[in-house]
Amino acid sequence: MNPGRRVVITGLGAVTPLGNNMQSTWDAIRHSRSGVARITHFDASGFPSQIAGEVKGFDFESFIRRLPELKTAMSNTRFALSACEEAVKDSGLNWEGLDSRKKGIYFAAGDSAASTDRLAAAFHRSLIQNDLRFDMASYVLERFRAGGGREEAEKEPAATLKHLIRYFGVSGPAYNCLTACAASAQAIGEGAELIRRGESDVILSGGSHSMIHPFGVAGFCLLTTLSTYNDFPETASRPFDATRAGFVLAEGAAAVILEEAEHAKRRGAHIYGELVGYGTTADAYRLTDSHPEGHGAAAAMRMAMKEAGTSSRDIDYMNAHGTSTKVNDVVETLAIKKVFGEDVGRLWVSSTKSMTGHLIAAAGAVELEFCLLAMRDSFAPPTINYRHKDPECDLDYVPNEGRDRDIRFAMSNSFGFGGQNIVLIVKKV
Amino acid sequence: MSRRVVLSGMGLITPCGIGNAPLWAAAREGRSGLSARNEQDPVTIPVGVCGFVRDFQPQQFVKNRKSLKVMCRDIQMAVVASLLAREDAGLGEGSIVPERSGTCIGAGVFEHDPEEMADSFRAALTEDGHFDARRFGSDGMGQLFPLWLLKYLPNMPACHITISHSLQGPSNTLTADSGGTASAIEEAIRVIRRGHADLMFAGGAECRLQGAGLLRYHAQGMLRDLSRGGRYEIFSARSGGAVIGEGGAILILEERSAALARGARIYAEVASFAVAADGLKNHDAAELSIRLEEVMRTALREAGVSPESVGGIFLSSRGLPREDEAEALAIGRVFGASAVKPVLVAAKPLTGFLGYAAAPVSLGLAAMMMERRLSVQSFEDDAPYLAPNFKFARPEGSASWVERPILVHHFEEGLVHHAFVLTSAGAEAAPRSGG
Repeated sequence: MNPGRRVVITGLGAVTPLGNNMQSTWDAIRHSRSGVARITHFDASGFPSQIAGEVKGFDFESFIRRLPELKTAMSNTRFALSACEEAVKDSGLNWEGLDSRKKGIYFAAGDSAASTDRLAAAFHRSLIQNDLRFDMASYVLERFRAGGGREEAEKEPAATLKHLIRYFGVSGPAYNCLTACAASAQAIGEGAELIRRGESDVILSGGSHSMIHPFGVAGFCLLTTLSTYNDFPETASRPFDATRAGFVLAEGAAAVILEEAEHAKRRGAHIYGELVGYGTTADAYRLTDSHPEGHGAAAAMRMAMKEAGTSSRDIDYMNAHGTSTKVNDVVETLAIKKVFGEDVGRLWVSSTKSMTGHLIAAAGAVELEFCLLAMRDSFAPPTINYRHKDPECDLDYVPNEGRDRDIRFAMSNSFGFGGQNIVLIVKKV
Repeated sequence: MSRRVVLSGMGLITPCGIGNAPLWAAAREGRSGLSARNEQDPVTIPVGVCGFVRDFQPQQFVKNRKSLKVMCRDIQMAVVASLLAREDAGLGEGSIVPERSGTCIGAGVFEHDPEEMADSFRAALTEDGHFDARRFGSDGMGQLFPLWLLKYLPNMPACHITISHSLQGPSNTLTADSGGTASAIEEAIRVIRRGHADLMFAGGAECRLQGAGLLRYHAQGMLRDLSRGGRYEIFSARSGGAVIGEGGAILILEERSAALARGARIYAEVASFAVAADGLKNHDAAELSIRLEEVMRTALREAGVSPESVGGIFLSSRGLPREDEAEALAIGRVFGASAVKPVLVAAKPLTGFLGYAAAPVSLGLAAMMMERRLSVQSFEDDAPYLAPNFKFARPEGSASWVERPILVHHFEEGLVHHAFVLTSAGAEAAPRSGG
């Protein structure tokens, strides 16, 4: 157990493909619903993968009315602000009344895409008329002439942090990390460390991301990591199933309020759970492949359990990284078996990415929220679309329907391109 | 008591040259690395004077040359800086314990190479110049290098660095514009203090002189063009914007007793740091200066150092008038009453504003001064216009002030403010808890 101050979670917020708040998202999870459909943000019919978990019917107008400068904010920021506002409200904190120096932010906002129309216009004007050769100097001059500098700034992950700092009036520590699919879990782990060390009493944490744009989808298609079950969007994300064929890109945000335990108790806050374990390691192996024997993932799970003072017997439910790619699901299963040994037989493991798709930087935070709600409701979420057993993936993945169970400790795994492995453990209070 | 953290190595790539020695030599001589664009430089930038890193040939440093294909220039510079830092720290083969070592890197969105995307764009254009997403998917996407995405992901510098040095402890990438690297260094210190690692590679790189990389700075109105003469001035009545440079800087941060046990050369101890978000609703220099003052005072308090005992201040100043004014006001309030006032040092006129590499270059240069007990040469007048009671650094003889604590300041309006206090390697003052 970390000897520092204890950290509890007192507020949740979410914007996901399953719903535009925490409750509607969790309701969909409890009912085994998928948020995946054909891409509508752009015409994806020419791409190998044409499906995604898009956020639907999201309304940001009320924010813009309050703060007109948010009109140029991109999806990452919009989702983040909405999820954070919900989390703050859910926590019951008198946010304005808190000492601004003792409240901080540790977020994981991803980057956004530049306008394809603006880039295309500059490119078009920079083609040499006769032979359509690309002229770099003309292109750059066109980009400068066309403006769009504000947009350039808004696509930086720092833009989301800047908006959060300003909107929530934070004067304590403020950070944003971006470690691909592990980012928001890492933000929560590091945010909790700020409280443990006494630098803050309250941290607004989580993540937001949207890569459902032509460049994002193209990048992942080129890496052949996306599912191409285009005719069956709702069943395309099928973690641990023998027929899995890649992950489904998704978007959204998740926000949590991390609070020093005594601070929360003093004000009679509702506590979703205590964050007791944080494991953080790197594979140092390859850019996208995890270590074939799951060394880094296993080390992170062990580290989190050591921090939490738990043994493998104590973990009742695990929200796996479970991306639905061939390699991840096998390696993660192997790592889990190494760490849990004989106790793996009593462990329930599920991948909620089967329903949400993969929210990339926001994935870890939303999955930790599912762990907290699973503890609250004594309900383990399912892995949907599980039909065909893979001999290399042989755990209890809570197939297709969630199951009731008293959950005292839940573990959430998040592993990222680039080799970051983050594991969080929460405890029922 | 908290574990203590020292700076035991650095790899600095700046417009003054590749490695620590060229930067140190230029700093001692007051020779700026900024220069007018020549025929080797990118032709597409809107200003004529920048801090170019010339003759950067990563293949001379990186053993796995194939890996360079999946790195944009920023990533290459970060990786090479990490190799230089390791060498400087005397960490030879087998001397890094993988599970006890990690990395924290500051990085933002990397500028894509337009040439690389040209064919895919051409395939996606309609006759009237509009982007057709369907065509991009069917005909354009395939023109891109299959690992194209990995060449530009912000966390890839950290990824390559962990692979290059087999760092299996914590790894993180922090993004907050140039302050992201100050954040990364802070986190590396925290990771060592809390015992999750004994050694961390921390720093960042930025190369925005390619393509349309300066567009954002241009739109913010912060570029200064010196092509018609003049020099990069800070804290001056003639300050009027930033001159941009490119660079990479990685620091080796180490738990003090582990560094001593292996006989490492210790440049300086990072006695403390302080951090605070801007959080201001309406910006003016006076309001901003209050926040900066708080950060400086917190860093000093955490280090157990009084304002009177501070020998020097590495300024954050980028030559932006409101930021400069706020920083000068804050320094005046914190240090103005000291009988012997700290000397001011500015790294930006030497290298240009290096974005994500700026903070570690300042920290590295400050630490070099402390270890060598020598001052650098500043470019400015004796009496800074905005802080007339203070003086800029001069290199004459051995300067006693460099043996006293140095405060390194870094901030960007609207984001996060940072201050670090470095003490000399032999200092016994131990940092308190917290920052």
